[in-house]
Amino acid sequence: MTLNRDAAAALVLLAVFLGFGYEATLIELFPGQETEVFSPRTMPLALAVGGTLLCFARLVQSLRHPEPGQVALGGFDWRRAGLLCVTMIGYGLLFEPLGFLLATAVFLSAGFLVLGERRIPMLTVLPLMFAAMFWLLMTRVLGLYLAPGLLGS
Amino acid sequence: MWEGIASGFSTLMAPINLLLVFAGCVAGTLIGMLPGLGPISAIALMIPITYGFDPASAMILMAGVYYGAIFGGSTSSILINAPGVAGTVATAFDGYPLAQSGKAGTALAIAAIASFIGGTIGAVLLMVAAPALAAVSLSFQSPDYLMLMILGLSAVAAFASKGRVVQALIATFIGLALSTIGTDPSAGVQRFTFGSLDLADGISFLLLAMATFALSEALMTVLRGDATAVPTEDKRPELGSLRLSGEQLKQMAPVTGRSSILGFFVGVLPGAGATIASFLAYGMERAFAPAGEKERFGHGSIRGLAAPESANNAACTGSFVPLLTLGIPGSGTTAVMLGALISYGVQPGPMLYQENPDVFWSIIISMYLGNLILLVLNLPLIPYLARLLALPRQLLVPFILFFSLIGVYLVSFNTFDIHVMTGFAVAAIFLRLFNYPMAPLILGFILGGMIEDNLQRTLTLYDGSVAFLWDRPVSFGIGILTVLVLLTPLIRTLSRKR
Repeated sequence: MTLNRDAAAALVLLAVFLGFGYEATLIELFPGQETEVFSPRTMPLALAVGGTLLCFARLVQSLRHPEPGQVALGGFDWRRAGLLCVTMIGYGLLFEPLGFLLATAVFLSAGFLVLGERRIPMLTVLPLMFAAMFWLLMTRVLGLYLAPGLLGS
Repeated sequence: MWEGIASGFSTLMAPINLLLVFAGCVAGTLIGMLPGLGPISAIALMIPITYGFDPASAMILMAGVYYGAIFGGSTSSILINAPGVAGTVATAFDGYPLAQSGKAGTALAIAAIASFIGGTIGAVLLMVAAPALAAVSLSFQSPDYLMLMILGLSAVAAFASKGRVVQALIATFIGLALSTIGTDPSAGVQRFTFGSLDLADGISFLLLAMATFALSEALMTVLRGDATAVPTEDKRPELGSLRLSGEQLKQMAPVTGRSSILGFFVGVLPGAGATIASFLAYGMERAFAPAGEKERFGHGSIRGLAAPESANNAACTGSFVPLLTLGIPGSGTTAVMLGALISYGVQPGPMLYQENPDVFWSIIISMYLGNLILLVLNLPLIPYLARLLALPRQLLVPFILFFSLIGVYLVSFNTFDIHVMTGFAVAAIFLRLFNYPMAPLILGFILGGMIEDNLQRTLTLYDGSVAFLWDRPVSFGIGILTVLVLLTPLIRTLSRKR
């Protein structure tokens, strides 16, 4: 019996539910709530027990009856997807310091670049024009506030 | 009922609402056409836009988007054999061969007319079924609601997970667990916030829906290499005429009638939805077809195209029955709609029919009008809308990511949400890769609060005992049904082995 990928995924989820259950026991209660029929811990603890049992069942299932088509993780474009996630995190970090206009233009441009776009106008003019139009639509038409940041000031 | 219908019509006939149905249909068609993005993503993307609207107008837009997305999925199924939505996979069986034989316009027209008939029959059945069920469900109490919600979650896990019930149940539990994050509503105690103020209000449903559907679907296309693939322009066939002959319409008529009724009732069942309805209708019509016609199935049969198209649209309408009357969504799409309704301050359920009749009837009438608009206005636009299929994915994906992120930011104005979304999108990709479905997760998240609330009331009422399971006939009946639903995949597997 070897640990296949499905079983490994079930193990990860089992750990998540065990951690969730442990955290559930740490939920603070007001005095007297421990003896009540229902407390803020009841539902999380029930879910932790149920989730743990299900993950265990999945673990046993995938060890005893492994599915024939195991997920082939090597065939995916992890580099590009990872870079896009980094771009999204960067967008969140730059949003306030740079402002909406510049952060959005940089985000879109980086996204295009990661996905293989190399034409300069597409990497510069399109993101800037789109960000400016979206900003105008949001702030002037819909009346929402979006910090213009460096470009706006 | 007639008063309600009239009120629904008058709400819908306001110029702004008519414009919203049209805009919703066009936007839904555009999004639904993109392989990987389905109605759930389309509706989730619309939620931030609708926050300033009154609930009736917002739901009118959503209904348009829903039907538009299903039709958009059919369009990409027919034109490039790439179903944008699981419910339109069966459409490609005969739609694509028809398009390949130079009749793409005919195939699209058949799809639009069949969808329209499916939607029309579905809307009529909904008008009758919804108020009746709403009246019955007024007698339901907390234990019955609790059991109903458990039945809904079990049914989605059992039927919508392609036999992977354990994975679907784990996804449901993850959704339920996520719903407990934040301040406990009854005692005001912080749960799983780790001292962060950003988590004190819990995770927003919009954030989770966007991360698990729109963001993760866009990232999955990148992972699979589709985002950098050559544009599909070359694969698009010539459209040809959009007109149908009398003979073709005659062939379609009985098929659409039967399939619509079947589709509606399948759609009412939690978890079954448009995909199962379309496959069942396709199988049924193949069985009913005369010998010569049977062989044409899979090679461009008009019946083979009309059946799944009318069934999937009727099923979409049917899925609104449990949502509107019981407040319990039966599918991922209606779960997202439930979340949207709650965020507008409208609680679907038996009281919706009495307290917000304008919303109740506007939704029903807008579904019908949405279908009409798809046929009259959207179909002629298809040659232009189909150009989207040729748009380079390396430009499209960053825009989808941007709209998802900014959609959530515009509600909270907190960049913390962008980071949380990215984290959830990565987790959703992990789950998807190992065949853990997302619809039960989002359904569990949305129903989590209601389940906890009803569980608390029930246990308090019964002094901590679970006697309600057999004391109340309604709860008992639903409990039996839940067990049967969960056992169905097991029974199916065992009978297949024999």
